[in-house]
Amino acid sequence: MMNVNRILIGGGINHPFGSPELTPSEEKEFRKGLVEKALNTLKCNVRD
Amino acid sequence: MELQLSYFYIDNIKFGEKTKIEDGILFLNKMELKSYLSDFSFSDIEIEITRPGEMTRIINVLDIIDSRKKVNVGHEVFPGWIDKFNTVGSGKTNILSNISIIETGFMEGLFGGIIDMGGMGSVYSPYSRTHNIVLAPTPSKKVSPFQFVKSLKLAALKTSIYLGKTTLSLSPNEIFFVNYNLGLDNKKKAKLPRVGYIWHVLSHYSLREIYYYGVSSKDFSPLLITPNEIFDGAVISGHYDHSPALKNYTYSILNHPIVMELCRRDGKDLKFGGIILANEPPEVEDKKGNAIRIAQMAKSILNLEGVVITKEGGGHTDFDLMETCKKCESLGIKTALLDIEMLDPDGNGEYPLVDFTREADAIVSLGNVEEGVSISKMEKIIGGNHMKELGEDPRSENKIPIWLISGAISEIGMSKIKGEWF
Amino acid sequence: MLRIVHYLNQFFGQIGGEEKASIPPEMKDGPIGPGFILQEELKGRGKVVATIICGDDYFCNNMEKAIEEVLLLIQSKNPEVLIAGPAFNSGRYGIACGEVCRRVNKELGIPCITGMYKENPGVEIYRKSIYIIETLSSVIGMKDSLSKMVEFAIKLSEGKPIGSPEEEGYFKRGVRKNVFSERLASERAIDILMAKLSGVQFSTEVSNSVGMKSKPAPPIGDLSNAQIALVTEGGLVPKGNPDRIEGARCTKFGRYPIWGKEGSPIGQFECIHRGFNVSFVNEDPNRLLPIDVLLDMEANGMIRRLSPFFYSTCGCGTFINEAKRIGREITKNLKKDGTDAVILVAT
Repeated sequence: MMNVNRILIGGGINHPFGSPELTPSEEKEFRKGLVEKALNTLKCNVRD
Repeated sequence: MELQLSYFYIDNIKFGEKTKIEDGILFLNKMELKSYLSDFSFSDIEIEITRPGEMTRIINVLDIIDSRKKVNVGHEVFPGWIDKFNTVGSGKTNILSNISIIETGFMEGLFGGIIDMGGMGSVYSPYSRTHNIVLAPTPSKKVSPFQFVKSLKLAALKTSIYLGKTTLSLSPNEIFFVNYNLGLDNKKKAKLPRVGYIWHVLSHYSLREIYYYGVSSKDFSPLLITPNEIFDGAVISGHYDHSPALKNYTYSILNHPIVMELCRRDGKDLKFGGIILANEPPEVEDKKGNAIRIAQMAKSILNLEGVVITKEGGGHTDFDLMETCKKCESLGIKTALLDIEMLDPDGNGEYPLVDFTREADAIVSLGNVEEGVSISKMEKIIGGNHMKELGEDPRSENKIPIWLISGAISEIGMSKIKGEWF
Repeated sequence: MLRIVHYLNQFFGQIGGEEKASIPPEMKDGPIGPGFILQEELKGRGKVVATIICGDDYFCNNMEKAIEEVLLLIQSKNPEVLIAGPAFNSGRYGIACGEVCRRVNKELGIPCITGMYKENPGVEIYRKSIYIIETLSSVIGMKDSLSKMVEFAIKLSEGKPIGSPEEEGYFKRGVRKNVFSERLASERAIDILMAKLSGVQFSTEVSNSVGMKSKPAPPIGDLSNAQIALVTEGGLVPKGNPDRIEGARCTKFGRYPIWGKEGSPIGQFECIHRGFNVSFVNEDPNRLLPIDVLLDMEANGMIRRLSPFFYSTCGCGTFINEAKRIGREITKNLKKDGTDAVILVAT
């Protein structure tokens, strides 16, 4: 089994960067939060 | 050095008026042997016979040996123990096949195993299939465990030679010739690969040691030894405080399966190029140093192309095994290892080996020592009346880890038990 | 007569396709769909008393709730064995089957069996806790796998000893068991050494598993100086799928220009992935590739640049070796693009 070094849980299988039950502007905010998290993870050091 | 091993098959053992072999039956004069074995370390000594299939459980098993005798020479097997020190390994040695002599003892500081002669637990150990003479001495008051085990060992070796005498006027059933030479001076271009054996033995402290000509492995450095000396009893187990699975019984040493097989194949598909007997130091830096010296001996002195390597002990000694493997491989010597697995009773655990190295790509499994096995209810107990691993009634049906059965697991490969993925 | 309950997803339960993947669990009497084949394979030794059907999305997105509901339904029928699937190579279905089996076994004490293809992610997750029969990758293997599952189920229900993985056809569970070899370990050791010396193939009897590890790439020091690219296995492609990227068992990837702030991606792109409900992404592709947000971040300097190209493949039953190759090729392209870091979006 491959191990992934930097991984985040998204908004769901059918919409990793979405949350359809929110209003469009709320959903975009949700997406923004996730993307920020993702970018911050890229800045993290991964310990073995 | 030439040695003739002569095997005498024994079908049964019975007590009798005279100690002798007749029609394949070994008769034993119990009183005579008892008297011969009396020792100030024992307040009493019981001698019992058990046979394959009997519902008897031998407990507090400390060591197991077979019966051997030198023929027509001025010295004896087990040099330094019964007889004076002498060179061994040539001439003729008689061996009684299919019997074993079992040392038992119960004392603070001693760690024994069990052997079931019948029932569910009798399928694992080779000693469930031999006819066994069990020595069960009671320690004298105030005797130390060190003195007791020395006396016990002496008693077993004396018994071995005493019984071996019964073969002297008889013809053997089978003969095996050992014609050992290192073959280093072979002027013809060597066609057969030079294969050797690196034998690590435990050397951590008293009662966890091996003896070579009576010298403890605690004082060892890596040594070159011959198969001949092994077959004549120069190497004896001194493990009295060690798990049954993590030590090698003297019986398995005398009949060393790897050494015997290398002798059989010597000159056929390989050239048996030597044996290195090596200690296992307790400290990491010393283990590393040892590995370097062993590899050096294997390469530069014995000129080996391949080695079989074994260890003796638990997880600690995986390090010795892997370190020696690594160093040999780095010098171009190909290695094959034998190792036990240490998992949980259900076989779970991702790492069967305590230490591992990338170079160890050829490892024979000796089985998961922790696997639980069932043992049946027994009618008779020999070797004492108590063993903590068996609970209140040592005769009862039980589920025990396989390491408790003496001989089930053999770190020098005298077993067919192996681990597989399920 | 063995009482059996059969667990199926919405598709095999004949409710519908992806659009029905969110249905909650329901129970029907008797066998449904492949349950009839199961009934045949039982050959009179058992009866499929009920079938439980649950949408794969419902199960995977609400696992705790779903499993409780499923357990209640199963309990009400009091079966002696639970059979789930087989799930072949469907990832979510495999996870559902695996979890159902694991929990039914643990909490109801009922023996279970399921079947999966070796690359189903459910295998790695559940192989240690339940028995999973190995199947082919698609429904071609239905009869054969149900037949094996039936035999295994009967053995389980009778408490008979289970044989080796090779004998019974289940995935190795990652436990070591002692067996008797035909030969002494000493002989096997010399043999393996001789094989090694003569260059003949040999295999070790034991080793410590060194799991496939990827060395972590060093972290990005300064995001504002980095070019970020989006890569996905979500199967988003330009409308019409010009490169004919397969929706399952994919062997290709595409490199496509991102949509800008002005042009709406809706109607310009489509999701061809066969493994999940693509309607949400089709409604708004930003739900798969957060291009709108990343372009904003490029504008306000949080990142230097969002790569003008995204890479898309389809991770639905892709064979591992294909995935490795696709990954390597995408990486080559990313380097040429001058990308520093990737957000890999998985479904």
